[in-house]
Amino acid sequence: MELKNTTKSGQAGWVRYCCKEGDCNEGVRFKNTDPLNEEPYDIAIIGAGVVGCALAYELSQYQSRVILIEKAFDVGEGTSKANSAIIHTGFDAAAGSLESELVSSASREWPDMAQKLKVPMVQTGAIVLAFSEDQQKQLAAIQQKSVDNGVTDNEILDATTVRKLEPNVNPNVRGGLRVPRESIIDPFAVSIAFAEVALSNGTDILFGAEVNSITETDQSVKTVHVNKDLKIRCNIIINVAGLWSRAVADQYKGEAFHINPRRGQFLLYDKTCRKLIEHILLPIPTKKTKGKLIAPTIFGNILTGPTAEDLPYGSNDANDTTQEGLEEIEASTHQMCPSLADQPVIAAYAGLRCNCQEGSYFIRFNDMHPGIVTVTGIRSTGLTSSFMLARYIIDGMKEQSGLNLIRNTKAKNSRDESSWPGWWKPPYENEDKLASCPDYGKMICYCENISSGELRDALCSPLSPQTTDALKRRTRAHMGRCQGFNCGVPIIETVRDHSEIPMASVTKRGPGSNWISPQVQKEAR
Amino acid sequence: MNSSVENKFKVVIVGAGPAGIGIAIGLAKGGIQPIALIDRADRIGGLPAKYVVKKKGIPTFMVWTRARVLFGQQYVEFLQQELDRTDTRVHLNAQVISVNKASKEITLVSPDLGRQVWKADSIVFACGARERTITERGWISGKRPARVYHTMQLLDLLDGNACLPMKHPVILGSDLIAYSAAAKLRIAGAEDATMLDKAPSPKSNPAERLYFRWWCQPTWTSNKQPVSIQGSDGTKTVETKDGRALECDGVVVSGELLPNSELAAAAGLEVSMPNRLPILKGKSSFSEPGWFATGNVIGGFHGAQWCYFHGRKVAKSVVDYLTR
Ligand SMILES: Cc1cc2nc3c(=O)[nH]c(=O)nc-3n(C[C@H](O)[C@H](O)[C@H](O)COP(=O)(O)OP(=O)(O)OC[C@H]3O[C@@H](n4cnc5c(N)ncnc54)[C@H](O)[C@@H]3O)c2cc1C
Ligand SMILES: Cc1cc2nc3c(=O)[nH]c(=O)nc-3n(C[C@H](O)[C@H](O)[C@H](O)COP(=O)(O)OP(=O)(O)OC[C@H]3O[C@@H](n4cnc5c(N)ncnc54)[C@H](O)[C@@H]3O)c2cc1C
Repeated sequence: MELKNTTKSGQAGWVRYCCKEGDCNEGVRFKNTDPLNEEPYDIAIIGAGVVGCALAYELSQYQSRVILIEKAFDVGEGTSKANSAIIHTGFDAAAGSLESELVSSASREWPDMAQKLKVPMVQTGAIVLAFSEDQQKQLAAIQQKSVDNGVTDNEILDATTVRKLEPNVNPNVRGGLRVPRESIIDPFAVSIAFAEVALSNGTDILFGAEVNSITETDQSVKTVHVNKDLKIRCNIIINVAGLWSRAVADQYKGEAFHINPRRGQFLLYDKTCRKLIEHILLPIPTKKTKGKLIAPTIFGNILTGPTAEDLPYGSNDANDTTQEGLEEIEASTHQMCPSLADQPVIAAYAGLRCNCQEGSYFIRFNDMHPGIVTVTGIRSTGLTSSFMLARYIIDGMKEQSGLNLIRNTKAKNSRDESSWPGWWKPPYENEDKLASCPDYGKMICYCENISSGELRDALCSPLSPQTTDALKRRTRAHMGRCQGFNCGVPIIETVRDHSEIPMASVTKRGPGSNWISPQVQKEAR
Repeated sequence: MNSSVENKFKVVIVGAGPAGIGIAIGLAKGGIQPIALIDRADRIGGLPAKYVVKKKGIPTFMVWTRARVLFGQQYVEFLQQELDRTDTRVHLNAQVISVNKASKEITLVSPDLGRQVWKADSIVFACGARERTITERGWISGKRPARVYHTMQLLDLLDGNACLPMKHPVILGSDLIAYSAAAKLRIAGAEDATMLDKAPSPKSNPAERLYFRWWCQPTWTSNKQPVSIQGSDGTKTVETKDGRALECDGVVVSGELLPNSELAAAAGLEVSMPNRLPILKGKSSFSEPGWFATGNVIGGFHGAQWCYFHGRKVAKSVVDYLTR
């Protein structure tokens, strides 16, 4: 298959949001005059989770005309925003599986990739902890598995060493297995960075765009119908819609697979206790579950979890936390690290793993139709594998769909130095920067010390946030211990002013999640 | 640009709310200078400054000495007048980002001053308090839809923006602040709130409830079990374990103050966790000499006037410490 290669090299793509007039900044609102129906796109990616964004990033290294279609109002609004935020080595994966291969190769490239993307990442290492004689015996088997997965740089520790490395773990600890390359990362910045680079290389991005049917599936040019009124024509469709991949696959009658959400709840502790632990602390996995971990976050908190609750098919928005779930996390993690019991928890959240009954990393090229690719079951490791998975998909399309891709030598593969988030490199620590722009000294988020200058920078970034959650994921404002008590409304005002929309139109994560109740509007009229 | 700024003080006070102003005035009267009174807000007054004087508004700041109830801003005017009689320098828009226990220094950041490290013989925390978050309360879980607010956000919207965020509120919490939230919403045009707390009866006392009855009559719901907030985009219901679903278009998670003690905790001063209570001798001094706390940062709920007088009282201890 030859692509049209219509990209004018060096020209950036566009970002548009589908919504009513007044719901977002007029400059980025999708209008019918925007170029969708001229030349067909080479490739349409459905779903801008971390996998979709990584695909856009990797494809943007070639001469191709790509559109990323996302129903939410930002990238990474699905499973990609609620996970353990760990870059895995793959030491405990099923050896020989595609997942193991992709995770382990990605983990070796991540330090370099994170530098390129300007995504904060720290190699803390992980320790698998054994608390009984029986568990201690299992460490050797886990070490062997790790070696089988190509992760040879690990070591078995005796109890004294574990206690020395982690003085706050339960003193009953019998030993551990240390995996030094397990790392923590800013999970939000990953999707954002991939998408921003793709955008600058020419990828178009359409938000607020729900794909609801796909026609002309057997033609070389297919039609993707969005929001019941827009048509996007393209040669190749890649379905990376996560939990919704089944619903999308139904639109082209793709091969049978079954998805059910597997919920994972987390607790987030105050920064004041960050020094309690150094490594990611893991229990010995049982047949049923990997168990609940204690991990430092890149932001300086500690997180504990996740639960593993299988929910019925279709409960794709059941990202609730529950009292039982949170208590279950506390019970097992307090056992691992008793000092946690006295520490303040500031927030709880839950994510839904895309659990595919036919197996993880379920990928079909030419899924019942030439040029349609299904990618699903990216359950527990998609953040890590993202870009390796994207390369695997691209290679597969070359081999199995005869896709002919030419490198775009002018493409960027990194973000500018100025893209490092302010919470990572605080502008107030840079005297010149602070002197040149006093806004960096005006704090809006008191808990995380985030200034109005940083909010403005984020709002002016290439993938300009249109919602308060999108702004929060880019800056960390609102993510601290007070959870918006102080900065909640100033952030709403900032989005209102920048987008030039009325207060009543500002949303948490897109139309419907307005900060001002529509009932107030209605009854006032 | 910063070299001209004075950077050594007798006392640095973090927070210019009622307590911080009280202590500044007390220190001035005791002849202590120079003092730096620092606040991250763009005006003095702390929390009361958020309660705007309004025609159809509700005064809630009790000033018992004069047997009056005032709007927050009226109370701040009183504080301003008192402060004007001293020559205290107030530094606004300045956030103290860290303090150093060993060197008795604070680091602040502000648009006017840039980043400053100031040294003092004594440092006073008058940082006030915030409300317990949903998760910190331990009995609220569920989703994270839009329109789950704290009382401060409500004030910023109602008074700061003349903007009513919800028509049918559920209020989680039942202390004095929760009642003031119910009243403010009612006056601004919302329906009477449904108030729910994990308690057999409301936490505010009967006299306070009698006062608020004039403005609002929230429906009290006692609840022993955990509740969950529901709604995938905007807030829709608060659901109880026994199957009740309280319909609403917004939730206010109100009251239950926690001290803003994190600066002290991060510096290694004694703070007990998880309740964030500074460990103080005589309700005002840390075991480390020269470090003090006043107002709502000491823990518990205290009215504005109490905090002001607490500041005045703690000033005496600071003077004693400095002139010893
Ligand atoms: C509890 C938990 C812990 C985890 N921990 C880790 C970890 O530590 N490390 C790690 O590497 N991985 C981890 N993961 C896994 C990782 O989060 C996922 O593998 C990854 O986020 C999957 O990304 P995705 O792009 O496939 O899916 P998603 O992020 O869900 O993206 C799918 C996107 O498609 C969009 N979409 C759906 N339908 C349509 C439609 N019809 N039209 C348009 N758009 C549509 C959705 O809105 C969504 O944005 C964890 C997951 C969970 C749940
Ligand atoms: C939502 C709410 C409603 C209330 N309603 C009432 C009421 O109706 N009537 C009543 O009598 N009391 C009320 N209170 C109690 C109120 O806290 C006290 O009345 C009084 O404001 C406490 O005074 P304070 O000086 O201790 O703290 P605050 O008034 O909170 O002042 C603390 C000041 O410190 C500043 N600050 C904190 N940390 C820093 C830092 N790191 N750097 C710089 N500055 C900092 C803050 O900006 C703030 O201005 C209410 C409290 C809350 C939270």
